[in-house]
Amino acid sequence: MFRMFALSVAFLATLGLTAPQAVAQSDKPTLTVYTYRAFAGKYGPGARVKERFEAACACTLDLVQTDDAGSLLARLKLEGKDTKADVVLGLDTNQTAEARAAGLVVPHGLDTAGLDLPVPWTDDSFIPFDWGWFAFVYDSDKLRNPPASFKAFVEAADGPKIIIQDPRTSTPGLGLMLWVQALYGDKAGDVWARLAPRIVTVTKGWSEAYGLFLKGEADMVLSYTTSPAYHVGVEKKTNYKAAIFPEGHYLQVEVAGLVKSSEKPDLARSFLRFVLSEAFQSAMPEGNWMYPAKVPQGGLPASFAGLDKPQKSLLLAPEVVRDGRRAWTDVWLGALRR
Amino acid sequence: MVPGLLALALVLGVVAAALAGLALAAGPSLPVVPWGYVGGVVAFSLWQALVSTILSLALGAGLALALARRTRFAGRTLLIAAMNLATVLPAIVVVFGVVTVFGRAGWLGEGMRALGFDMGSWLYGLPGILIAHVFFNAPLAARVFLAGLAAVPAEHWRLAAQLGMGPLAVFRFIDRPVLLREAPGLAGLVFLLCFTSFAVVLALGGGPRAATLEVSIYEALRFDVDFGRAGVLAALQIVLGLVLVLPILRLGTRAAEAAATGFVEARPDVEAVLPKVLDALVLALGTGLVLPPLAAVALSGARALATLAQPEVLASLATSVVVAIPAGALSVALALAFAGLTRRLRIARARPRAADAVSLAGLVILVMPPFTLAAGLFVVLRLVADPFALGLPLLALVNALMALPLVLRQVEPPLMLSAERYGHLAESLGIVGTDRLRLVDAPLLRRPVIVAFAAATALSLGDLGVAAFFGSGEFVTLPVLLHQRLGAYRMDEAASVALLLALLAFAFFILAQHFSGDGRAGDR
Repeated sequence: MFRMFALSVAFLATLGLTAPQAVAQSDKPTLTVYTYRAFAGKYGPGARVKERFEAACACTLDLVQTDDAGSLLARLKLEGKDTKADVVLGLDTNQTAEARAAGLVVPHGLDTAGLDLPVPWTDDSFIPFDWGWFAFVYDSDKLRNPPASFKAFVEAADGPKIIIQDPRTSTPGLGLMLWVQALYGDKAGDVWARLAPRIVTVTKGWSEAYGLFLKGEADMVLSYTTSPAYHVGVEKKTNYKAAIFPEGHYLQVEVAGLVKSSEKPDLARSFLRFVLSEAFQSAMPEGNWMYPAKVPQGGLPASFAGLDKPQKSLLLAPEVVRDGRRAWTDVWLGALRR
Repeated sequence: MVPGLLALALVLGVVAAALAGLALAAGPSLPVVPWGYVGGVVAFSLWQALVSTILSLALGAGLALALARRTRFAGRTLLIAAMNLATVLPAIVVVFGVVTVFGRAGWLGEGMRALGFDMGSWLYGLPGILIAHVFFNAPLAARVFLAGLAAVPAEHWRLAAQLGMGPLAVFRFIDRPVLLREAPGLAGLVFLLCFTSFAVVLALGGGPRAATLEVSIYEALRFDVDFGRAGVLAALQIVLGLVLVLPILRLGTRAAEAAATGFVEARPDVEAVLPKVLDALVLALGTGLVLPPLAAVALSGARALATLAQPEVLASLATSVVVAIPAGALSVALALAFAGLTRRLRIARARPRAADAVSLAGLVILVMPPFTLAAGLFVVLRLVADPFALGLPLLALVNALMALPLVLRQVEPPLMLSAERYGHLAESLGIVGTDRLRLVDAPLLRRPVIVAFAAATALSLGDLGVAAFFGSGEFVTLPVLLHQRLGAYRMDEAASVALLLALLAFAFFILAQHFSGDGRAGDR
């Protein structure tokens, strides 16, 4: 048995020596971009982005993945000044205040005019690369009369059953909490109390919630207005719809920033310019299933053409979110724990 | 003694390093902790963990007795392997499986509706949590109890037959002591597993009413990036978990075993009516709880089976196996070293309290929240090496530690038995060290070790990999691929990865049963 122990240790040691290491190839500079796994992984736009950027930059683009956007920020904070990251790509506006306060990024100095964002963009540290509206998605074959407004959605006591995500563990969950906050302010607690009986369950992340919805556990699930595009584009199913509320929909804007400690700020800046270019932006819609920050010249893909669009967009300023989130989460908890 | 102390140092060292890493990252200011909320969460966690533990152990004991009495029936090997499978599947897969069977639009609900009963939505809340936890843990309990029952000396059975003991007397004088002997350690393990359960409790608990401390720890790391708060909450969870479990472990009083001849004797209570009825009921209940969710996993996985031929699936499969096999081996080696140490403390040194403390240390990794473990280790490792380069070995090491409590539960009892039965003889003959392990302990240990190795390997296969939390993304294991597919709307393709994981773990258990000779009458 102890021989087995020794063998295992030896085996582990060998693995350590042969583990893949980032070796700089020849004299080409390497640009290191930290991003989340869904972006860089097999089903995300990462591979296409890497190929297109490397074709023009005479450099190597190293996409380093973390589990999700949450661990992206944690990782940057843990590494501090020693981080290898030149660019961070995949935070959203709910995290930018924290990143700025921690001194992790420097102003990008780019011209952000001409963005196709539903809100004006004034952030000088981060550039947006894609965005989406949060929305409740439903199966139109099963739910014939979805609520026509947020008010109706809240007030119908026997309205549709919903599945949402926990704002403490999930980005969409946080988005919904901020959505209610933006619409109702001090009355948010009452709204949550009214919704509570119709919440089937609150999940840790988007995947559990969407999976449970597809299994028929609820009438509606919190997701994005772009979710139906996946069903249209890949599965050729048109029965999934997003309910559009005239009061407005809360936005998620995903951003990229130039890391302060980068030793290649010029190369990093050229990557940020690339992020707003046609080559990058055209990979967003059917790669990340979000709207591109700048619509490519060919327009949006066919799967996005039939999507319903909200008329009004809601987005709280990053600093407002940072200062209020704790208290709003307590209100949310208080209303749903009753 | 020395390997045991080394193993102890490794486990405690990793946990301490992780906490130190968090403290280092947090800086000097004291974190703000929402104590009121934490109190409510802890109260609920305790309640659900207590009920889950009682139900899991009760069903587990019933299943073990039924399987011990019924050594030949069609599908016994399959049932045991399927039960083992339940323990090692990723939480998200089990949630989907349970919902497919017991959910609003699930098999049970639809079946009842067809019969004219509408059950409505009853799953979310305590029922859902309990179903999932019993699904995970009753098979685990059954496995440990069954191993205990299998080690009952033949003399007991012969004596029972000669005395003409009825089924009740057999239970009272032979089975019950075995169950009571294993129960405390098992209860401690299951309690901690349920106390720290996270994704299952949230998804099936219906909302923030049902939550564990891990939610707050995750929040602290994810949105607040507050390492101090994460560290304090993690320390709280560790202390609470251990303080609660220590008295459970102390409950374990046991009479020393006498030497046995090693013959095999049939149980005398196999033909009685009462056990027959009971066993049929328990087997039906256990099968009804465990098999349908597994069948649901298999069925939904079958829809996109073709996607398993994609190169990234094969690459993930290779990565997973390369991590899981050394992790399983390391876990078993660590457990043997641990169990050797506790045995020595208990018997040779007569220090049962110290032995309890060491046993407890073997459980410590269970109460260490994965995210804090990953984040803390990351900080510490960065001081000495590049965590990128350590990816795979780190993953294997952490997985080995995660499986350690389960493996320990299987390896400790037979090692104790062997000392009680043959310890004096071995000492008088001067058999020590590895010779003792090889000559004296091995015959009793062989089966539990093989099964434990399979369990640890399978568990490692199904683990999302806390080391990947801050990893570089160079390696994609099967569970990571599963989550990638889920996150990209590809639910069917994700289900096929889940099926592959299940089949792989299933194969491990079938092989383990084959090589350990379980189910073959007369071979022990």
